[in-house]
Amino acid sequence: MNEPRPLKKAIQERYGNEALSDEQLATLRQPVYRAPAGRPVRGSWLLAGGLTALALTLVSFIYTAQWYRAGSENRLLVTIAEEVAANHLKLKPLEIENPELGTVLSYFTELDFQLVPSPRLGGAGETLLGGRYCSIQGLAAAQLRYQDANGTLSTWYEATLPAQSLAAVPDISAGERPSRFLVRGVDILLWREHGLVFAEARPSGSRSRPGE
Amino acid sequence: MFDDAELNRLFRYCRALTDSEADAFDLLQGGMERCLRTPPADSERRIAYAMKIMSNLWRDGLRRERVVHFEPLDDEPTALDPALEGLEAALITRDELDHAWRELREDEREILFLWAVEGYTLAEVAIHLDRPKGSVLSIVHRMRRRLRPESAKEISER
Repeated sequence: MNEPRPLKKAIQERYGNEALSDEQLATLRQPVYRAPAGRPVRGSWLLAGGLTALALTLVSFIYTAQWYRAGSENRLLVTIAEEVAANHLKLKPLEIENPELGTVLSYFTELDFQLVPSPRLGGAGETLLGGRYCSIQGLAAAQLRYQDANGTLSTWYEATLPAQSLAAVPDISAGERPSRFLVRGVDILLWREHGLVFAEARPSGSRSRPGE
Repeated sequence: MFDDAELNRLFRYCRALTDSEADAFDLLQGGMERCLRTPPADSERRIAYAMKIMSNLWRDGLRRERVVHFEPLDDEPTALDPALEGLEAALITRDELDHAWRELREDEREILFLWAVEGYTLAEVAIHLDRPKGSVLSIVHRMRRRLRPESAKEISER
């Protein structure tokens, strides 16, 4: 099996067995990675591009209008919520898979802040699957992934922000309520505790504590 | 936009670029998002378009991490064909390829992958990489020298 063979054939064999896992393919089949229904896959790309540009312009206009209406603090929270939604939707592979919170938290040794095992992490009846590094506002952060009995996934984040930005995040230890956002079908809560930013993301409509 | 076979084809390309399964999947996801935001003008060439996007994304990431390779100005090949002939004639075992692959730079892996798996000519590789053909040939020339002494043997030597 380890006989010399032509370089070209050896390289082809090296990659011949490489394939995406079923889980990875399922991730890439999510709507966010597909062209909108009815959109021509072949042919009229120019028309499709034009429509996309028009839609983007409209979205951009609406977004800009909302952007200026919101205060600067709210702007930061919206930006963070959008990042959290993007991280949640991507469902990138877990770097550590373990149901124990302490074990998973101990995996994150490259962060420049101390992770806190907050009792708020994980929803009722949810099982911890594991975690991975991600980034919030360009800074390394931790993502934890939980799953409930129905298979619904939620992702939780611990991150840090510069002090002047951190003040914009509701501090639950001061009695403030988490900020709630609905972004791209993802229901997001943002709050601050122990001097860290926490975020929870789950599919819209699956939150068991809607009052938060 | 892409069926499973095409996604796997793109994934293999990302694997060659990154030499890491996790990085390859991240790159594939990032490239897919870019492709949806800016669809190709020619749908028949969407695979090549996606590969180009993923290649640029990967190089941008390397630049951000300040991983910059400098190429020596010497070692210019004297002819075009010998570079390819050397690659076509090289023999290598799986273990030797594993070892050599780890030592190769990402642009070297990309060139070999495009040539061996995607069937690109060196001229097509140069277009894909937006580099002068001479620059690509220089890389191939140096790769041949690195592969030959320790691992690969040419058929003509047998």
